[in-house]
Amino acid sequence: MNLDNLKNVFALIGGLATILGLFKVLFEIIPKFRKLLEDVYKGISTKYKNKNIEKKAIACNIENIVNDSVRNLNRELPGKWISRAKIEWVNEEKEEDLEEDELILRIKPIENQDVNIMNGIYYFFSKALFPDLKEVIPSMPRKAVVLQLTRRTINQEHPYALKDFEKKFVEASIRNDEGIIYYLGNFNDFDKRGFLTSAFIREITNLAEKIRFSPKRAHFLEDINSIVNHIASFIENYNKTIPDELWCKRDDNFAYGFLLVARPYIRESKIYVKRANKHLENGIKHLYILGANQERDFVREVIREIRNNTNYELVELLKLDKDYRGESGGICAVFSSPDEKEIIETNNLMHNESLIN
Amino acid sequence: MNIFKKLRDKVLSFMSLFNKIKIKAVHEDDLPELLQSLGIYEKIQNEDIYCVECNCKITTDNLWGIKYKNSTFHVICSNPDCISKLV
Repeated sequence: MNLDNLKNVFALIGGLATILGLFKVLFEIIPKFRKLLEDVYKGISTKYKNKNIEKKAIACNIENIVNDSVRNLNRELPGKWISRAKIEWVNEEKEEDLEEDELILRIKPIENQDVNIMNGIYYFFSKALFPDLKEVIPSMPRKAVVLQLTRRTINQEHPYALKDFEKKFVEASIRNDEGIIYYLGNFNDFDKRGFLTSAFIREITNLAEKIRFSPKRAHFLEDINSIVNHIASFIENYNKTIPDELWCKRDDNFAYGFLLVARPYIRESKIYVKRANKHLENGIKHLYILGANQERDFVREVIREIRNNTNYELVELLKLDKDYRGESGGICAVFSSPDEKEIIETNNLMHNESLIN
Repeated sequence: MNIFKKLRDKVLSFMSLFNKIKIKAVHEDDLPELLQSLGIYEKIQNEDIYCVECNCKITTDNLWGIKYKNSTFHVICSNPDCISKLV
């Protein structure tokens, strides 16, 4: 073989490797490609009963369901809180390859895929949520958040497994500790109005960071219950006239407030700026502007006005699953007083800018 | 926001697509092989391993998962009560 032929062979290998690499990236990041891959694996495994292809089909299906929900949840949860899931098959394992607290999940054949999906999603959220804060946040509210977000994901992505999940996992959690009902009931209500993944999770995450090495940690559950009770009362009064004292919650360890933006017949953003300034004067550290999706243009205008005309700093802008009225889609802006800014994560700023400009 | 910060955020946002939380899983057909490699297959065959939560006997039928904790393998049965204690 002469030098020219050798060069051509290398060029061909290089070209093929580039094309395959490009396909790999496309299959990794584009949901439609991943779904296509899943269908291909499913079709082949059904026809030829090949174990390796069946494993790929099972993994692809679970990963797609989890990763679709991760994509949506990352628009709501504190900046890039959860990453995508990857099933790593093992058939031989050495003790030294395992990390502390690592779990190997048993996966059943594809005929039992509903069970695999339930187990996979539940285990994923239990592993992914509250990164680095698992030891600080009391187990009952943490577990109730995991159950609520798993329920939401199964309901949206695989609804026929919901009843089974509730019967098995939710009921089992209640049997283990009846006190969890208080959190499950409230978190379900919060989630239906966008308060769970916006204000509640952020407030307890910030609080957990603050009190991690403080004697106040002993009273963390009381603080969490106080926040739960406040948000529950706020939601309960939403259809009536919300009393003044419910628009914010202040304690030694936290101070947050709400502004609800809707009612297009009062299209006057200055009213909201005035209210935001009043919250700031009253020592409210975190201000949550919750807006109805239908009036998103006006909500954006209000957010811009508050950013430009108050001392609050915009730290996050979220796309919620539900708005505060319980309708699909919602916008939430998280503002922070200047002395608190460094505590709240400032990810997604680029995303924020593009959403309000 | 300056252009470099925007660019950095864009790159970080794109790179985060490749961050993954790994879930180790074993297919039912590979279970005996895995248990052998962990040195607990014979114990399970002899019904000499118990669920770390409810203390029931573990078999290859009711095994839900294996957790590595404090240098020991903790085996969990498929009873939802035991699984829900994982979180």
